[in-house]
Amino acid sequence: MVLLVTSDNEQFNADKDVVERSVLIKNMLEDVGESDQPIPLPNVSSSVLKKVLEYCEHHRGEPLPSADADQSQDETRKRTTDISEWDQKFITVDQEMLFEIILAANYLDIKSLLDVGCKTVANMIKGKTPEEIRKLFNIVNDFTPEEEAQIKKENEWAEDR
Amino acid sequence: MNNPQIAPLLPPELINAIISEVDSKQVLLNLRLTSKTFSEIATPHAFRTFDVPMKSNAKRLAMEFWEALDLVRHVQEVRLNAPDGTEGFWDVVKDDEGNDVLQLPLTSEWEWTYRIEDIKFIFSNLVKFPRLHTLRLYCIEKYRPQPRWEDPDYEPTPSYMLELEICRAIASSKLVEMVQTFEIQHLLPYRLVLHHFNSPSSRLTSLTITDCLRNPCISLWFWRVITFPRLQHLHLEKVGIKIRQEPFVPPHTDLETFLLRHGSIKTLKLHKCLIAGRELDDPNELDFPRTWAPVWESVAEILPHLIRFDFEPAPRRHADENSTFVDYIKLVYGLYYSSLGYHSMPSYDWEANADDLPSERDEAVAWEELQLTLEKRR
Repeated sequence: MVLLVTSDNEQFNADKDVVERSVLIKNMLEDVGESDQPIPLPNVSSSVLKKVLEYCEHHRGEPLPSADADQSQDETRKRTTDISEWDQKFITVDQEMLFEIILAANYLDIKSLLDVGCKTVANMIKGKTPEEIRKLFNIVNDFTPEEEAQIKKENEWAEDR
Repeated sequence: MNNPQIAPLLPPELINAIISEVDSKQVLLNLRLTSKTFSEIATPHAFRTFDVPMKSNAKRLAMEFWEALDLVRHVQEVRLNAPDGTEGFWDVVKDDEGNDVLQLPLTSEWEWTYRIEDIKFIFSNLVKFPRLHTLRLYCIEKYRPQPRWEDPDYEPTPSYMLELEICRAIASSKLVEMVQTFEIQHLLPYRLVLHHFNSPSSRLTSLTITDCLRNPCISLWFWRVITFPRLQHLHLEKVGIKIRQEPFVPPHTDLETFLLRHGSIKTLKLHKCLIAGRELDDPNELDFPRTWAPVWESVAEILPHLIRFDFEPAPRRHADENSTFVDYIKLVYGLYYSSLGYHSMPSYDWEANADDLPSERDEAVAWEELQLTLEKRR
């Protein structure tokens, strides 16, 4: 078992093969060797770590993506936005938690979870107008009318036809 | 309560990771209009692929775009999706037999000529995209006359004329030292462009050919002459491959001849490809043997760097109990080649001739052995 300590000082015990889905934790464990010392995770709160561990537990034993994955010609093709049914249900959380999970997955280096989070946000944007996207993510429009007109003109060169 | 503000909460690299998952160009363009931060992050994604405009003002749009050097530098891929008649580029009309065919708009033939000149102009100037490395040409097939070739005795179809001009433009360009990934689909004058990349300085590493042929067999010229010195990924779809029976050498397929010159290949995909049988007097007689197993056995030796091999439909050890002949067998043995192209054999009695057919199980064993060899290499 591995002991993890969150930013709000809560302690979590988890199986080694579960927490090792995080490349960060895996590397830390390899560096310190056999030890009872808790691993501090100052960038992850307890509510987020609970969700992350739920994800790691479900995907326990699945092969990890290799660092030197084959960079075939497919890398240039459009990426799929498909998410498995379980992952979809898992990631159905409020927007703040979704962003927190993405941040934690990035910090902990859990690539598959980061992908699920990013794909989920990308799916939320699908079919939305600029104004709808601003509203969704609370984005402030900081363009002058001239700048906005210039971007609209540039967009004409790339529009789907 | 307002939604959380994404920009300060997530750093730019994570917003970039999210935007890289967006597969709609229109959404990417909409993201450019939301704020300065989003515009900066979304712009390289929005302009990564340049879709050749099929509009009456195509040349003007392209020339204006080329002036915007800060945007042009993001273009890495150029894609042609030939119009299928719904956009008014040309008309879809009925021929004498009631089939849908493409026709030049009779009332404005000059305009169509003007448009085709625009497209040709764009393809002649693709070197203006300094980071271009991928070219994808998706032409249309469904309105071609049957048999689906452009017979020199007849007037060429509008789509063939467009393809010809595009291929001529590419062939006279300097793309050979730029393009690394090249994909063509239903492009009949394919020889012109492939010949362009047949050079010691070619940077082509990935080639995809889908159903481009007057008949599905790529010519002997391609298999025996063309060499792409850096080729790593080859994907052929709906391509027929002939067996050669020549003096002093064992029977071999054209594919093996080609692969012998391309030992750098790492990925080979053959989808719905078949080994061509010869034309026989009796159209319902099968020309055996033409199984894939001997090819698979030689592939691992010929290509020392091969790590992935896809073949669809793959043979299975245990065929569906309800069907004696599953996809693989029917694909491989259900067609025959003649001078007019491939023909299916609908009247062939599969059940009665079951004993004459090679076993799918034996094919599956050869397939699995190859996969095991490649697994060890990875």
